[in-house]
Amino acid sequence: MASAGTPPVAAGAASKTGRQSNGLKEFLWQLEGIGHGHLLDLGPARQTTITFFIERGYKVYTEDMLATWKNFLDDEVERRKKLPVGADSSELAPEGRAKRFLETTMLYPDDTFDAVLLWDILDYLDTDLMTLLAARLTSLVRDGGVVFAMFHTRKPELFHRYRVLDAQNLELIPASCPFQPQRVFQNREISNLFGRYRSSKMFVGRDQLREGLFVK
Amino acid sequence: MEQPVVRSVAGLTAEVVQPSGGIITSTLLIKGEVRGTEDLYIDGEVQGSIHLTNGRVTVGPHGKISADVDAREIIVRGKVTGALRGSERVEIGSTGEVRGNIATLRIAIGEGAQIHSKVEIARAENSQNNRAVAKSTGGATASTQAAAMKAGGENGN
Repeated sequence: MASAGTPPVAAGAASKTGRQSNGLKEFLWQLEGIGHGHLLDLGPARQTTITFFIERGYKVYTEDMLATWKNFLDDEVERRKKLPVGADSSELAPEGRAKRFLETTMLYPDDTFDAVLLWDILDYLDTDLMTLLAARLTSLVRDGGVVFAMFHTRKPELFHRYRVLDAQNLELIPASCPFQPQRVFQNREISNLFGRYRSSKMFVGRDQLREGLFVK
Repeated sequence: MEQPVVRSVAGLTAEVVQPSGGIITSTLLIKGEVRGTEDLYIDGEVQGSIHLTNGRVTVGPHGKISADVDAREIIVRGKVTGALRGSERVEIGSTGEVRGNIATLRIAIGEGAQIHSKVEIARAENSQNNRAVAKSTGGATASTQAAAMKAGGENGN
């Protein structure tokens, strides 16, 4: 399970930083031919990001996956407390819990989305949910659709949220981290996770972030 | 109606409510259809539907809405589960939480707002009806949509 973490951001110690993003540039290039598509943003709702894509004719769906997962886990704690002694708690185990979580969120028909902003959330989800989420995304993205994801090359010292500033730049916004980072993906693991996509491309930055672009 | 503001005098705070429009206070629960022409401030609970076609609906920080809301302008600082249709504008404040689709001409989202929904902005070429409403109420037209949204984006979100 992803452990709730002490927020690894010291007040005043971190500030917003801009980041030139080749992944975003490529993502937008991939989307050029799609026109009025459907985009799913799995980060927190950000005005600039939403506006950016709406101005390009997209319908934007937002699901703050980490916040929703955190709320779900908080509810689970309460649920567990109310279970009678000796009751079957197998569904509270990580795999069952992840399944139940995905029964309550991301409830869209298959092939709904042309584009997904996954950001770096796979780094923070526990293995069961991370695997199931990646599979769910694969079914939600239509053929030809694109997923933009980020992966840390080593455990990040700070937790960031992201927003799109313009067609080439992202802003990294330090935030309180609901979970500790769970892993540092090997490239091979990423390839396996997105194995059903017809192409993938990675952009390695000097700031220990890899940007991944996956076209289904 | 302006939303209530908090005034502080000699260490005491009080909500000062402007005289026009309706108010559903935090102790009230309404089940059913709310319909009208005036602005409405909701700090209580509403379950059903809300139609204020030419008015503004403000959901206060204690407000809890399980209803579709149809209004000229919708401001959310509390919790809403249901579809929001703001013919002119929707604003989700930093304490706002929305679960349901949002359709409007312009949207403003505060830092920390929680939105789990589809956000659909009517664009100039397919929003004739909304433009008519906006003009008749003296509001912004669709042509100002992009500029207004950009302005909204300058508030740090």
